[in-house]
Amino acid sequence: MRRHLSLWIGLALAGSTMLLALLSRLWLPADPLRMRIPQRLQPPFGSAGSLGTDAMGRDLAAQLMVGAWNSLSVALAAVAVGLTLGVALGLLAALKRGWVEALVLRLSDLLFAFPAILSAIVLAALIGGGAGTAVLAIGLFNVPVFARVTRAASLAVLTQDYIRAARLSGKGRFRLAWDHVLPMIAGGLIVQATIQLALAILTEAGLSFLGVGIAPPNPSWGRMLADAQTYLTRAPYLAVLPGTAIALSVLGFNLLGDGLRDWLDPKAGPR
Amino acid sequence: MLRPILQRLGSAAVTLFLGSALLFLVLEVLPGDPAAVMLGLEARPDTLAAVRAELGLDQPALLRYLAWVGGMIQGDFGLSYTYRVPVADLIAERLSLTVPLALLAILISTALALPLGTLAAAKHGKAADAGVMLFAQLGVAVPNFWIGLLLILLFSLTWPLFPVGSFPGWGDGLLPGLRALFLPAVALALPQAAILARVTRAAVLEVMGEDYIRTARAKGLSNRRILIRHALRAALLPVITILGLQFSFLVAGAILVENIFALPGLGRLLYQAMNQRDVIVVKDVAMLLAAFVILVNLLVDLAYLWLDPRLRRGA
Amino acid sequence: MLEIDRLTLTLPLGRTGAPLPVLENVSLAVNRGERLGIVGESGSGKTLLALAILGLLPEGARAEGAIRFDGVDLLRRSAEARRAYRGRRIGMVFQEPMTALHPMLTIGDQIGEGIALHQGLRGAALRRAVLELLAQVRLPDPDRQINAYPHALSGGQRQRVGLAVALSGNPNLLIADEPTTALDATVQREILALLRDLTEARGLGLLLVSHDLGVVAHITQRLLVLYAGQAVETGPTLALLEQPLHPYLRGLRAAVPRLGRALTPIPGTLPTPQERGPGCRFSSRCAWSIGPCAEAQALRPLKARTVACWQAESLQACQQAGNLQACQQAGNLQACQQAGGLE
Repeated sequence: MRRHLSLWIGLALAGSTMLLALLSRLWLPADPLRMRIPQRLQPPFGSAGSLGTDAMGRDLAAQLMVGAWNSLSVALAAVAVGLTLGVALGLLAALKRGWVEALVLRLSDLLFAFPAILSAIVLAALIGGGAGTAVLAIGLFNVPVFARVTRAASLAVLTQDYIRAARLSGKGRFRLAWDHVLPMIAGGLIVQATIQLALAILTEAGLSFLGVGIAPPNPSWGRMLADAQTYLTRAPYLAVLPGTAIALSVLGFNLLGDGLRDWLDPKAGPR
Repeated sequence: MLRPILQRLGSAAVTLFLGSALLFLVLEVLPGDPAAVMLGLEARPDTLAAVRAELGLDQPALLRYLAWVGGMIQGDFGLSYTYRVPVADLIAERLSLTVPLALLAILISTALALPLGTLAAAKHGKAADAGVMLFAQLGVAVPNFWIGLLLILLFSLTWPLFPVGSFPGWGDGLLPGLRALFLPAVALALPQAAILARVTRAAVLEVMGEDYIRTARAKGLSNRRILIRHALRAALLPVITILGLQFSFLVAGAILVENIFALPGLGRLLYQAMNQRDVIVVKDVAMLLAAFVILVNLLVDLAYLWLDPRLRRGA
Repeated sequence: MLEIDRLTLTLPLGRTGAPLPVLENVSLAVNRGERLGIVGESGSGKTLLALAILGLLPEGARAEGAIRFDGVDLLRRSAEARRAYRGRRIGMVFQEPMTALHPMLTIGDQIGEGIALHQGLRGAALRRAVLELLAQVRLPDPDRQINAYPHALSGGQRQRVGLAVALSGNPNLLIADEPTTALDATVQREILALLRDLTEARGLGLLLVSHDLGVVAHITQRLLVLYAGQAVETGPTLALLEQPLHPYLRGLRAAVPRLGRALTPIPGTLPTPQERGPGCRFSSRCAWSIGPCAEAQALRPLKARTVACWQAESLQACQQAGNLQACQQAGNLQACQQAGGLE
């Protein structure tokens, strides 16, 4: 238990975020979009019940739950985009070497120079904001991360003797990658994906905060924080609640990633 | 010594070229007609035509690209469509805020992270170590714009120690400007410090197991001197690498934090230009920010050559 | 000057981390101007012995017994007090010249650091002292090399620098742990000659740790042979090499490659701390092992030396009678007695 402390805490925090997100599809304490102006700016655990209401009288608990769903969907989709493209490019680089590898590395440097918020703003200037823009921008930034991890891990695997033997036995390069390389590097990729998921949740919140992420009135944690700015002294809980939700879920996925790494490779130790 | 430097300069130049081509492609070629993007769907045909002529959009894309890049190299960034002033002037004004902000944030984060990480490594497995690791985990998880909001709430609204929403510039000396930049710099620095502290700890721990640390002990040096002069020196290499990799997050964070603190920096300029669909300003500022990231990573590579004598003889 | 009295070292080993003795009841003494060799295979505990003297044992290690330096028992001193001995009284040269020097500091810095700390020199005087030390360890072109980084030096040159670092605190005792193992044969001889000359010129005590009999034979006056954490034979180097008494030392000598003679390796491997039994630890590999060998063998004086083998006299007598081969074939020394080899 103590050995895998971060795994368990991570699992608990990330798990409850996911459970709340799923629950929001089945049941909500109130309609998150319904405005009740007379009941506006009620503090948590007050007369309005549960976690209180925002400046429009909308229920905060319901907004947080739907926000979890929205935030996780964007983050998952973005990491999936980055994972698919990145692994494909990384494998290609490791298998082909030469100019293909050089090109992939240069491309990685290039995409890395455009942090997700920067590319989201560029895209938003063209096509406007929204969940699609957020997924694209965060996904693109994830491509070089996965490409580099995949390339490095595959190169290490490809020098092993049994891979040489498989290669000599006439297996095609892509067959080889699918049968031998991918299973060997899958553990590392899962760990990386978990940590990137945490980062994606954080970035999505930033995008929604700027108004280029999930489009209003659909609730999102970042947008709730943006709305809270106006009432900072009068209703600080409006800033505290969504911020805590972001921090706990990001912490959860980070710890889960660290815990998984220790669990898969106990020798590596905490980093 | 010269060959590895040229190699790194070359690859940075290639990345810069690819970046500019990508931005140009996305903003000026893919949408078909940038004038339509800037004016919106309801624009009248004659206004569209006038803007097209003004921006030289009737020329072929390749020529426009070359003119853009050539202009930027000479410091001519074109004319802002909404502000009607040279973009270069806008940028120059904003740079005097964003660059000091970024430098201050890096300064604060390293000043926090190096001692904390080294302390954690020196007290490996003890309470101080656990405390630093907890700070590191929490620091990475907390969004910098949220820290910004909380800092405003605490130190501007509850206890008015720092101004918010106004930047006095550097005309009245260093202090008023630094005071206005302090809270946003802290908001930017805390998550960075968390990551750096963790990397410093891991790097120092690894170095402490090296043979040359044992040699230093056998010499009779104090633990403090071994830690700082021998271990930290070798541990700085991975720390600097991460500092470079983190710079793109610093740029992203600056866009958010400048907006929260209503600071007229590059990030805020970019955000306003986006809302006004000023493609020219968006293109220029995005290019500049990406170029910063690429140049900082180049500097990290060069710092590596300078710090690690083993690499100086060439790759 | 240095006196070690029944030193026992335990380390947490294996999966359980239970403390196991890696060194047991080892005693030795080194005086000023004296050169003592410690010989044993890797795993015999000789490096830990060296680290124990400096107080640089790995975490979790425990030392019992006494390590006296000029009468002061170092094991009873605080960590800070022990640090005062490192560099200033006891210098150490390490095995791997490739990794023992800091890659990012010039060799001048690394040597000067010790001189500044222990002799209080600064500036130009410090530089002069570093240059002089570099000249003493016969590093070519010291004026230029003083600003070089370790990676620019050859292995032999690095070991000269390592020696200079060890001498930078002007110590009375030098410990050298396999100082030539990583070097070419010719360079090896130069470094050994340098060690001998420097210790003679400065009147230093030397503790030379090696697995290689040839190395210690070159420059030491006395020898201590370690096997599986225990001393099995001690005495004057020449006598031990010419007439080894303990079967292990006999085997070690036969395993030294020499021109025109077949090399006879010792069969089997060194028992790990977990595998060690109560009896003579060498018995599992010994050609003369019989019943009484299952009992612990303590060092006992024999002529001018000490040896931990109850058959030592028989063995020697056997050899003098020229019956060693017959004994070995019979598996014990009783054959000798039958052949009338013993008096």
